[in-house]
Amino acid sequence: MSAAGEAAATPQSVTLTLNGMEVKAKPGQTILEVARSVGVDIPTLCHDPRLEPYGACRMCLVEVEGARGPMAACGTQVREGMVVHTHTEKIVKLRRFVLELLLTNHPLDCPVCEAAGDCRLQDYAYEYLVDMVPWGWRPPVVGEPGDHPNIAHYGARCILCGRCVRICREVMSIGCWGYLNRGYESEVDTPYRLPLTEVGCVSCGQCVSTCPVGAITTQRSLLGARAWQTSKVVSTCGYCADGCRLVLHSYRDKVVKVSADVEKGLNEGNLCVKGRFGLGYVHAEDRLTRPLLRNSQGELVPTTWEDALTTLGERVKTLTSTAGGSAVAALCGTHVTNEAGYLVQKLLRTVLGSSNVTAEDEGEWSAYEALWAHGLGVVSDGVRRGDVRTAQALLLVGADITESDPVLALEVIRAIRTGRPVIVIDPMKTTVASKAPLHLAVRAGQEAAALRAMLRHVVEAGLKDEGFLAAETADPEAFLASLADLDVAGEAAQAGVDLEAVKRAATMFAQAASALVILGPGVLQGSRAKEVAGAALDLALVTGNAGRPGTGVYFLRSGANSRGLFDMGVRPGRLPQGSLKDEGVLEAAETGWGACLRDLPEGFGLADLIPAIERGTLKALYVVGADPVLAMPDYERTLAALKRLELLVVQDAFLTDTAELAHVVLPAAVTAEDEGTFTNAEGLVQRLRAAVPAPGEAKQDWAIVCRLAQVLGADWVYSQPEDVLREISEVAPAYRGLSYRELETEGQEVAAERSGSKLRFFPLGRMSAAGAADFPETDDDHPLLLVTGPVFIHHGTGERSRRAPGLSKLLAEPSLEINRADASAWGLVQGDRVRVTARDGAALEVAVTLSGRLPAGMVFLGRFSSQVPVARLLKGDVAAAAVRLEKV
Amino acid sequence: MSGSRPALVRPAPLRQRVLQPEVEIRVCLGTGGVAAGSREVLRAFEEGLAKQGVFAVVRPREGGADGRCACVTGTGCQGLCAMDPLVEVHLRRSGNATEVTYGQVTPAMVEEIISRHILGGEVIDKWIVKTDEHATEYDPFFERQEKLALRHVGVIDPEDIDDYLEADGYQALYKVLSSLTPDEVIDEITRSGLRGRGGAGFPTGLKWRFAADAKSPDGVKYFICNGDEGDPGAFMDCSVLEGDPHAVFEGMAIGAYAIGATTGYLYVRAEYPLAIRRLKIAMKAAEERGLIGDNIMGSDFSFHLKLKEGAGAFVCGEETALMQSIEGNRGMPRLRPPFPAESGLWGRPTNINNVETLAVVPWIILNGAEAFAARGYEKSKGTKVFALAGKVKRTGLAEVPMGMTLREVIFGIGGGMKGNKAFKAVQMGGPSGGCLPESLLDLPVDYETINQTGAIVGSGGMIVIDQDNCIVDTARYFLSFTQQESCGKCPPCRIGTKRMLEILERICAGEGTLADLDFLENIASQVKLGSLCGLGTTAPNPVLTAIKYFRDEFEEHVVEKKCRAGVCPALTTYLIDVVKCTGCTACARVCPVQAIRGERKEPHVIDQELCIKCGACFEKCRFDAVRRS
Repeated sequence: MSAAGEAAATPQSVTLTLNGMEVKAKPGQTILEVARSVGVDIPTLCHDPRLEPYGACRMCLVEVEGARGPMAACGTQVREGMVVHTHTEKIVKLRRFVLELLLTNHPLDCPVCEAAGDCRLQDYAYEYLVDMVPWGWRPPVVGEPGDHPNIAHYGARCILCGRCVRICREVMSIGCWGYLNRGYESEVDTPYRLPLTEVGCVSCGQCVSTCPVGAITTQRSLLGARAWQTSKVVSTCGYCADGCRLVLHSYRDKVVKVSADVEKGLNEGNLCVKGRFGLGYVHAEDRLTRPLLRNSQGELVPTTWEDALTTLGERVKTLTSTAGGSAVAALCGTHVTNEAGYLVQKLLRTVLGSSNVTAEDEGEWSAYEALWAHGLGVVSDGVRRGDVRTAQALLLVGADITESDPVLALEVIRAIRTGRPVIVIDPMKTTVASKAPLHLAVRAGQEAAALRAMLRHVVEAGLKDEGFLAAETADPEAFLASLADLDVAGEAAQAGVDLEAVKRAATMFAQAASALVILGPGVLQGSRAKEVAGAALDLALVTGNAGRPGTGVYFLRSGANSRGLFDMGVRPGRLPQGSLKDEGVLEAAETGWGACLRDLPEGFGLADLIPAIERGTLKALYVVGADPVLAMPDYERTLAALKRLELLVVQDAFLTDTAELAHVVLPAAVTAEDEGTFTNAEGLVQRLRAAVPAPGEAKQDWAIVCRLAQVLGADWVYSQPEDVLREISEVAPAYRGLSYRELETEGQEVAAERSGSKLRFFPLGRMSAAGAADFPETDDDHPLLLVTGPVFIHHGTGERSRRAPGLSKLLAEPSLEINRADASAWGLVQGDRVRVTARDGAALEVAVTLSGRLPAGMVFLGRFSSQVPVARLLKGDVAAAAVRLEKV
Repeated sequence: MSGSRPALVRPAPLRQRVLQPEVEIRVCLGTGGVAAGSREVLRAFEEGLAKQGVFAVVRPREGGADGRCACVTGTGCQGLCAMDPLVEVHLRRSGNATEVTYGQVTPAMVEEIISRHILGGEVIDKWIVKTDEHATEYDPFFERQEKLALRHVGVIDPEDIDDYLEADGYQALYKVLSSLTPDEVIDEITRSGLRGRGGAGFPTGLKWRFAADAKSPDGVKYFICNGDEGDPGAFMDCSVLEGDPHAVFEGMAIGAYAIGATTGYLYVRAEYPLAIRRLKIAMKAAEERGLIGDNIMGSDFSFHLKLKEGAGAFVCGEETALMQSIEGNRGMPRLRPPFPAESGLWGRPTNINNVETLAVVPWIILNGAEAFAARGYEKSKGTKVFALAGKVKRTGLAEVPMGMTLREVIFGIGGGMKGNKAFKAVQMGGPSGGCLPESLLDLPVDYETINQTGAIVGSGGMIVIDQDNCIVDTARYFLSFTQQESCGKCPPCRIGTKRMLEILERICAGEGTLADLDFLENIASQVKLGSLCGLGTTAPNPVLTAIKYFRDEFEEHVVEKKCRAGVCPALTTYLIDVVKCTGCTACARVCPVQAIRGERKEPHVIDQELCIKCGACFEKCRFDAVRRS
C-alpha cells in the first residue's frame, strides 16, 4: 500500500531544458545519461557506467541555471524544470583548462601508445583545440610496462581518473590498484608497487577496459594494431555459459584484441581473463589445417577433404550396413553451435538412424531432467541475469562461481557489496564464500543435508510462504508432513555445519523479499545431484521463491552452448521439438523432418558410452569439439575403449588427446572463425560471427556436418548457418521466431515454459540415504579426498585455454591445492612435487600449492591439463576420489 | 506520540566541591600553555606549596582536610596565549576573596609568588596580567570578549566531569530530553540564527532539519563532530576540545536527538594529542555517568559516541573526505549531491557540525534562542571565537560578538601591532580565506560582508602581518599549504594549484613578468570554478585577494625586481654601511655562512656570493649599519 502511494508521488518522467531543447527523462537519470540519450556529447574522463559517479575529472561540468557553480553531469540527477547548458563559453574554457593541466604532464608518445586512436584524452585535446599548454609541455618519461603477461601499466600516462582503482574495487571487489602519495605527487599503482600477480590480480583486464588513456593497456605484441587499423565484429564468448558479448578486433586475419561494449550484452562491458585475453588459441601453431587420415602404418597423415570424406563415408556405410545405425554415436563439446549441434543430431537420427547423440556435459543435466516434471520450467527456465541482479538474497550451492562463471559472479559480488544476504554452501572457502556474510562449510558431499536443515527450519520457525504454497503447489500438506521426521539439528550435524548458522541462513533466505538459488558444478554430478537440486527446489517452493522476478533456481552450465545443445536435442532422450517421451513431439519431428523416428532404437547417454564400446555394441564414434579422453572419468578405461572403436572421427581445431586416437580427423574452425548461435545458461540466444577466416582448409562445424551428411546420402541444402537456424526456429518451440535478423543487434531469450499446472515438491526423504553414499569414502590408506572443478584461467579440459598464451602464461599446468595443515602433516611445502595415488593404483605426479580455501582432508586438482589428467584418478560420475600422497 | 515520557534523572555532580580552599591556583593547561611550560609551573606550585607546610595541598573534590588548604588545578586555554603560562591565584582570607592572574610564569617565579603573594599577601605587580585591584594593559583583551562557546574553557578542569556538571553541564541535554521534541530543538537552533562555525557559515538549524527529514533505509543516521581543525594559526576547536570536552558531547547528543541519530563520531586530528587524551577521559566519565550511551538519563534516547583520530590530512576537514576517512578509505572528497544529509557516512543520512558550533548549542538551549540572536550582526548572530596570531601584540583566543570590526579585534583585543610596526594585512580564514588591507579594517566581522571582500570569516583564524612580511611570499606560503594538502582527485586543484605556485615562486625569485599576474589570476579563477571540493575552490583566495589589494607590491616584484619587505631572497641585498659600521663583529659572529668579513673595529663587508639573505646580520646590528634593499 505504501509502495503504491510512493509510486503515485514519484513522477513517471521529468522534463528539463537541455541546451534549449525540451527533453523528457526518467526520474533518477543523471544529466549525463539524459544528454547522451539525446545525442548531446558531454565529455568525460573518469566516468564509466559500470561505476558509481565520481566527479573527479571535471570534464563533464555543465551549467545548471540557479546552481551555485558548475555541476558534474555524471553525478547530478535531473529535476523537473531544470535548465542545463552543456557547452557555454565558460564551460568550454574550463574543459580546455583541465585538458591543458592534464596534457602538461602527459607523455607525447602517441605514436607508440597502445591506446592511440582509442584515447579520450587524445580525442578531447583535439576536439577542444588544446594545441599548446601555456606553461610548456613537461612530458614525463614512459617507463617499463611491468611483466604481467597481459596487462601493461605505464604510470607516466596516468591521468588519475581512478577508474582502474574503482573498477577493481567496486566491480571486482579486489583492489589491485590504489593511490599512492597525495596531491600533485599522486600516483595510481599496486599496493607497495608489487607486481600485479602478487596483489590478488585475476587478470580480468577490467582496468584495461576502463582506462581512458594508455596508462593500463594490453601488453604490446607483434600482432598489435591500432583502433583505426582493425576490423571489429560483435560475437559471443565461447568459453563458459555466461554468454558474454565480445567485440573481436582483427587485423590481417588475426584477432588482435577483444573488448566489450559497456552499453550492450549481459556482461555490460565486463569480461574475465578468458574472454579478454584467452583467444590466443585461434592462432596457435598447432591448429589443424588439413584433414588427417590414419594410414596403414597407423600414422595420421594429411589428406584432402575429398579423400577424407569419401573414406569416411565408405567406412560408415560399411559399418552401419552390418551393425546398424545404432552402432554409431556422436559426442559434442559444449562450445558446438546450435546450428552444428542441431545438424549432428539430425544426421545421427535421420541419416544414420541412431539416437546415440549427446554432449560432454550430459551428466550435469541429470538433476534438471529428473526434476523437469516438478515444474522446473517455472522455477528455473525463466531465471535470467536480471533475477540474479535483483534477488534480495542469494544462495550458492556447490557454485565456485568466480572460477566457473567469472562474469555472472560479478552480480553476486555486487549483491555482497550492496549488503544483500549471500549464503554459500560449499566445503571450500570459495572466493565468494570469503566475502559473503554467511558460509556453511559443509562436509564434502553433504550439501543436501544443509539444504534439508534449512528447509526444516523454515517450516519449524513458521517462515514458509503459506499463500504461495496454497496457490501454486500441489499437495503441500503431504510434503510438509513428510518433513516431520526431519530434524534440523540432525541434518546440520550430518552436513557438519553449525546449527545456528543453518538457522540464520534459513531465516535470511526465507525472509528476503525475493531469494534465488544458484546450483553449480560442485553439486550437479552424480546421483546426489538430484537430491541437492530437489532440496533446492523444495526450499524455493516452501519460501515462495518461484515464478516471479528475483527468484528461482539458476543452474550454472559448463560450456558456452551447454543449454543450446540440450535444446537442440543433442541428447538420446530429447529432440529439438521436446522430450522423446512426448508423443506430440515425436509426431511433430517426424512430420518436420520427413523421417521415421519411432522405430529408432533407444539411445544411450554419456555414462553408457564406454560400456557400449566395451560390449561391442558401439563401433563408431563421431566426436565434435570434445575431448573425452580428458573429460571422462577413468582415463585408462576410456583410452582402451576408444582404441577398440572401429571408427573414431574427431572434428576439432586441434589434435586433442582424443584426436590422437582417431582414424579420421577433420579440421574445424574455432569460435572466432565461426558463424552461428549460442544459447547461454539462462537461455539467451546470441550470434557468433567470424572475425577471421579459419586457417588452411579448416571449416566451420556446421559445414563439415553438412558435407558428411551429403557423403552419407542426405539431400541437405543448407547454404549458410542462417538456413539451419531458420529450420530450428520452425521445429523447436522455444526457438520459434528466432532469426539472424532478430539477433542482429542483441540476443533473444528462448521462450521459458510457463506451466499452468501446480508445482510439485520433490520428495526429500527418499533420496537422502542414496545421495550420501555417492561420495568416495576416505580411509587410512587414502586419507585425502581429491576433488576437481573449474579454474577460472582455464576452461573445461583446457584444449583451447592451454593454447592461449594470455592464459597459459598465467597458469601453464595445474598444481595440487592442499590445506596448510594437511601440507605440514604430510611434510610438504609450496612447490614440492608429489605422487597422487588413487585406490586402484592410478597415479599422477604434480606440484603442490598451499591453499587457504580448502578444508582439511581435501585436495584440489584442476581438470585442464593433458600432462596431468585428473581423469586418471577419477571413477564414476562424481568428480572426486580418495587419494594418498607421496613426496617425490 | 503523546505517550507519557519516562521520569528522567537530572544530572548532577557526584562529588561536591566540599571545601573553599584558602588558596586556589589555576594553571592554563591548554596546548599553548603546556608548550610554554605550564606543566612544570603547575608541578612547581604543588611542590612549592607542599614544601611550605602551611597548606594541605588537596584536590578540590577530595576535600575533608581541616585547616588551611590549597588546591592547584589545570584548566583549558585561558585565552591570552601571548602571556602563557597563565596562572590565576585566588585567595580567600577573612571573607575577602582576591583574584590575580600572572603571565609568563616560570617555575623560578613560583617560589616568589608563593612566598610574597600567597604567604605574604603582596601582589607582584610586574608579572600581573589581570587583577581586580587596578587596570592593566591587558584588560581590553578580556573586557571586550563575550564567552559563550568558551564559557567553561580556562575556567573548569576539563578532566573532571563534576566541574562541568557543576557549571550547568548536561542541563541543556536534560532540558531537551525532558521537555522538547526533536522539532522543537531544531526550531530553537534555527531561531537562534546559529551558523556553522567551521567556515562555511551554513545555518545549523537548517542543516539539522535536512538530516532530520532524510529517510534512512534502515533507520540509522549519524551525527559527526568535525574536529579536524587544520588551518595554520587556528586553534579555536583545539581549545574547546581541550578545555571543555563535555560541552561538545552535550551539543552532539542534543543534535543527534534532534535528527534521530543514535551514533556519533567525533573526528579529531591526531596532531591534537592533548585534546584526544582529554576527550577520552571525558568520554569515559560521561559513559560512566550514563550521559552517553543507552537510555541517557533514563530517557528512551540512546547515543553512542566514537572517537576517530585523523591521520594528518588537511582535506579530511572537508566533510565528505572526513566521512571517507571514518570509513577507512583514503580521505578524498566525493561528489555532491548526494549531500551528507541524504547519504553520508556508510550511505546513511549524516549531519556534521564543527566543534565550536556544537559547544555553543547547550548554551543556546539553556539561555534561549533569543539570547543568542540578540548578539551579533544582521545575518550573523551570536559570538565567534577567533584565534589571533601573527604580528599582533596579544596573540590568543578571543570570543567576540559577530559584527565587531576587524580593527576592534586586532587593535582593541589584540592590542595592535607588535613592536609598533606598520600593519600590512590580516589573513582571514586561513588558507581558504584572503588577506585584507588596512582600508578594510572597519568592516564588521560578518559572513556576508567578509565574503564580499574575497576573504571569508572561515573558522576564525586571523593572522596579522606587518611591514616585514612580503605579501607575495605570504600568498605563496598559503598556496603552498593547500597545494601540498590537495588530495589529488581533481585536476584543477591537483595540477592547477601547482602551476599557480610555480608562478608565485617565479615572482618571488625575481623572474616574474607583468603577464604572470594576469596569468595567475586567470588560472586562479579556473581553479576556483572547476575544483571538486571546498579545498580547491577556495585555495586561490589568498592569491586573488593579495593581487586585488596589493597589486602594487606584486608589480614591484616583477617590474622593479624589488621586495619591499626584504623577504624574497632573490630580490633582497644586504649591504654594510661603512660609515655606520663600528666593526663590533656582532654581524660576522651571527652569520651562519661566514659571509661577513672584516677586522675588529674596521668596517665589515658582506660577500654577496656567500650571503644567503637570512637577515640575521640585519636583525643583530645595533647601529643600523646593515642595510636591506
